[in-house]
Amino acid sequence: MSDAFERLCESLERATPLDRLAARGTVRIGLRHAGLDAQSVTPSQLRVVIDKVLPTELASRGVEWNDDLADRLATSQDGVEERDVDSPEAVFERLGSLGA
Amino acid sequence: MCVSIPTFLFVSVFMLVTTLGARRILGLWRRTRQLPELLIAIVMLGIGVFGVGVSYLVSALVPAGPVQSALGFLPIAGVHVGMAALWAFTWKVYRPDSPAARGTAFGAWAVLAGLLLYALSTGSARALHDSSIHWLSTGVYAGGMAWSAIEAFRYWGAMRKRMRLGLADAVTTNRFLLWGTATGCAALGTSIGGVAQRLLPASDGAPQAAIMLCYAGFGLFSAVTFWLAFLPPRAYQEWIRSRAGLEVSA
Repeated sequence: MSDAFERLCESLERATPLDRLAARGTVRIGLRHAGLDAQSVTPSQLRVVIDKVLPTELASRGVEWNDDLADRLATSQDGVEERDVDSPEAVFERLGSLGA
Repeated sequence: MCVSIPTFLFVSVFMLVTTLGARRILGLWRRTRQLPELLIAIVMLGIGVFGVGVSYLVSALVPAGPVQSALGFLPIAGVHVGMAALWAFTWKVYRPDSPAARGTAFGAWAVLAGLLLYALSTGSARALHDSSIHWLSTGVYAGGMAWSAIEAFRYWGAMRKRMRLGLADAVTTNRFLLWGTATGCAALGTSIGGVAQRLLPASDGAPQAAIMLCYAGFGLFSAVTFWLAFLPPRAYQEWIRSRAGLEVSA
């Protein structure tokens, strides 16, 4: 799993009544809805997931979303390095860079 | 020697597209020195230029005999090197850390090498069309293309979700669809052609011409999608971005 994913799960577990399993499961489902996976997700991608996907996911599990929670989750990504992985997306972006 | 005009045109366009594409992707590889660029260029040269183009030219223009038989190894070698590169591309790009994917790719390389050595040992490239060998070669060619298509379509689905959240570029997302279509069509053409080649009588000219047309038709469609994927004209990119904008805002 990526550091970004682990940090977000830990933060979610501390900030909400969700236990470890539920917190990780919620983040995984959020990632799936965003077309991402726990192994390669980056901090910048997770910030978007926190902003646009997690509020709905948490609400469906009875966790109230508020600005304080949003800030705490976003802060969990501070200091996590953006991994320089040659993902399929990066490869296909490069291969198309020859176009007009 | 029998030259069908539509097939000749299809093959010519296919060769032109793959030659130009390979040349430009090799240019990109010289700058980046990254393995995926090199592998894609080898796929285009091996399968496109040698496997389809040279194969067709040899069978259409060289009279049957020892010269044609000797030249027949050129396309076979091209296809095998290109297919090995395609199996490697799919493994290294989509599942570099998966032992199962690595094992599958190594297995495919072993089959490809074995088939090539077998053909060389018999002294005829046509040996690959004999009985069970034919199904093995058709399977390893079509399997490599199908695996590449499945991975591309799977990743395209994920990219569409990312795009809706503003996490992915529309043109890059579309590139996965095009690559999946290109390799999927090539897999279909190879499968249909492979089955037909085995089941239809070799002596009858009409079915053989239909097989060649099948290869060429799917090949041409693959070439067009390939071109749009890796050498997209500006107008096409703008069209994709405008469509994606409408889709996201809807």
